[in-house]
Amino acid sequence: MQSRLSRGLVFVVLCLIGVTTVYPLLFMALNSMRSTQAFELNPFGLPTHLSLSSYSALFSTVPFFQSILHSLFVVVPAVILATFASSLAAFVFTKVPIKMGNVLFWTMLMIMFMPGIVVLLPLYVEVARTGLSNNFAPAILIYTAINIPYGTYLLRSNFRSIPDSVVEAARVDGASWYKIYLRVILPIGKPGIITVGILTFLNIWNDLFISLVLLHAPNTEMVTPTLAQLSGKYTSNIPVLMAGLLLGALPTLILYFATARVFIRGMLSGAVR
Amino acid sequence: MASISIEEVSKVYPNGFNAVRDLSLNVAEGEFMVMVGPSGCGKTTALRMVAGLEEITSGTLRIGDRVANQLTSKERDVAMVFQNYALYPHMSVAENIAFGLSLRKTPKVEIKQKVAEAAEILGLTSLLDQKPGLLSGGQRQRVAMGRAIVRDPSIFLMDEPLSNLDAKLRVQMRTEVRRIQRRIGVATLYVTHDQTEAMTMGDRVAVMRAGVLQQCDQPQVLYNQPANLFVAAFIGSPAMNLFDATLSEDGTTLRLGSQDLAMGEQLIQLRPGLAAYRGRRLVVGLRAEDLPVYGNENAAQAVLKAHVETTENLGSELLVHFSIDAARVGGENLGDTGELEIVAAIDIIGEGVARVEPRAPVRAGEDALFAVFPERLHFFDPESQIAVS
Repeated sequence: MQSRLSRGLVFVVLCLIGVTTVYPLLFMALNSMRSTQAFELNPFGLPTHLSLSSYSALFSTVPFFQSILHSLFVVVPAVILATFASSLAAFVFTKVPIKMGNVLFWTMLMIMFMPGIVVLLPLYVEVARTGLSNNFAPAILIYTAINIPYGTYLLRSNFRSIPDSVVEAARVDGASWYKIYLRVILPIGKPGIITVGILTFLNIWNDLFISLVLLHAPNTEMVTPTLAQLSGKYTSNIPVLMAGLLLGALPTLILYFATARVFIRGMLSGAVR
Repeated sequence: MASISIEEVSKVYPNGFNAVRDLSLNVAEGEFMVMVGPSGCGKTTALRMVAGLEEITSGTLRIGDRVANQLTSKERDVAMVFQNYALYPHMSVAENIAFGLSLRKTPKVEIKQKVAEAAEILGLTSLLDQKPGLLSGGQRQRVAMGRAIVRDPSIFLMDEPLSNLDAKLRVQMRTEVRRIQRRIGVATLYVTHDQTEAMTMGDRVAVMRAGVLQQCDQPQVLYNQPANLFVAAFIGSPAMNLFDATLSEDGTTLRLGSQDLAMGEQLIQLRPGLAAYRGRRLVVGLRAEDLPVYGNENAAQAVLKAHVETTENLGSELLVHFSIDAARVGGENLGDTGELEIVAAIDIIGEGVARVEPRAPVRAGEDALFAVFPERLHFFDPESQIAVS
């Protein structure tokens, strides 16, 4: 009896969490298909008839697809670089006996705890003075650098769950550190590494501030600043904004569903064992 | 194939802990050397230094003719079996065994053939495509062995490879490991905390305590002529009975608690070293099987009277747990710290064990008489703990 009651309670709470997670998405999807007038009359109403006019309005007001491409240009290489660098660093911090390893790690962690907004102004001045703004390559490198500490932090705890003796066995088997990383750590740590990749993707894809500073010209603008233009100070066309946001979130959603199983495994590893 | 020569090797950790002190040990080609001792005695550290997983603080390590101190594990050409097997979880059994060969760029055909051979020896042929996660403890252990033997290493290192197996399988694998080692004939250094394993497996056994080598010899020699109290107490099951005793001024009588055991002139004739202990305290050691029940068959000059606490009938023999009024010498936690101390309780009751005939007339709660033979006694200096001979 007790257990049925508590299970029921858990079910209700989970439902509430589910609804609060899914509702914004649903709100975006439904309202993107309503007319501006209908939305303003009743923001929470259901669409009476579906119209895709907001989508065509979106594509005519801002260079949406172009901005998605720009985002991908930056995000994909930055994610690959940052994840690779984080996994290398985490491997060294956990498995390779180096002098001052902990000092290096804690220094790196300190950088992670610094609020991003603090570096924004110096970053802007640097980029403007060196003439590197509106250029993809420096943007990729900066995003990579910003995301390395967090990735390293996550992967360090993840790699710690790989027994040292497995690495030692590989050393005795005759593997170099590089081979150990490639043939032992990478395959065993794959769930964790993919998780860090996804989190880094989300981080960069959803970032607005840094991309405003680095890539603000129309021919380099990423998707978040482009969508931000849809929300004016005095006038905002909410259904058009919703259409943009929904499409803008689509890549992350696709990524999540494609990797959900590995992602959840990666998030749980270390916690469970 | 090569020999291992450890010359005055020490290990001091950065925190100042001295794990191994001036260890000197030789393992000949094809020899099976077992290092045994309580946990924390430095045996695993010594093994890891030979493997190249731990830096050598001082001393010289030679593998074959080469000084190996600065060589990597790969250059030392060692193979090692770890306590937890340390299999690569993402690789199949075949890939696990082949990993070392593939790193050495061995041709694929040769790898396949060698893996098949090793699998044959170890009875793993049907499991080659399995992942380690699906195997039982014994099977994993054999994969770890396979990974080691497939490379034809110069030396073979094993770090408590059987300690994660259940008792029955462990006994079975002891013979298995020895069989495989004889077959490949490689110098082997084997670490264990289990003295039975050491005694049954080793060509020679090195007993370690607190980073210091105590004695290294053939199992039978360790058992019959332990060099010091620690070896005497550590080797053998049940452990040697050790009591605080006093030798009479004339050197013919041993006082054990309230009892005087008449040993005769023979005692000092057998062990001239005892002459220096006339009228002094020393530690006397008696193996359980050297205490037969006194009777017609075992008519000895000296008789030890003891109170029988309990008996354990093992079918082929009877273990008699007795007590006498002499202080027992031994460590309460010998297995953990290796510390030996004289247990001198206020009301002195020394416990001991005798291994006698299963039909011997011994009953719990009664007194029993045991025959004591001078030639079967062991003596140790109570201060230095070194054997007196």
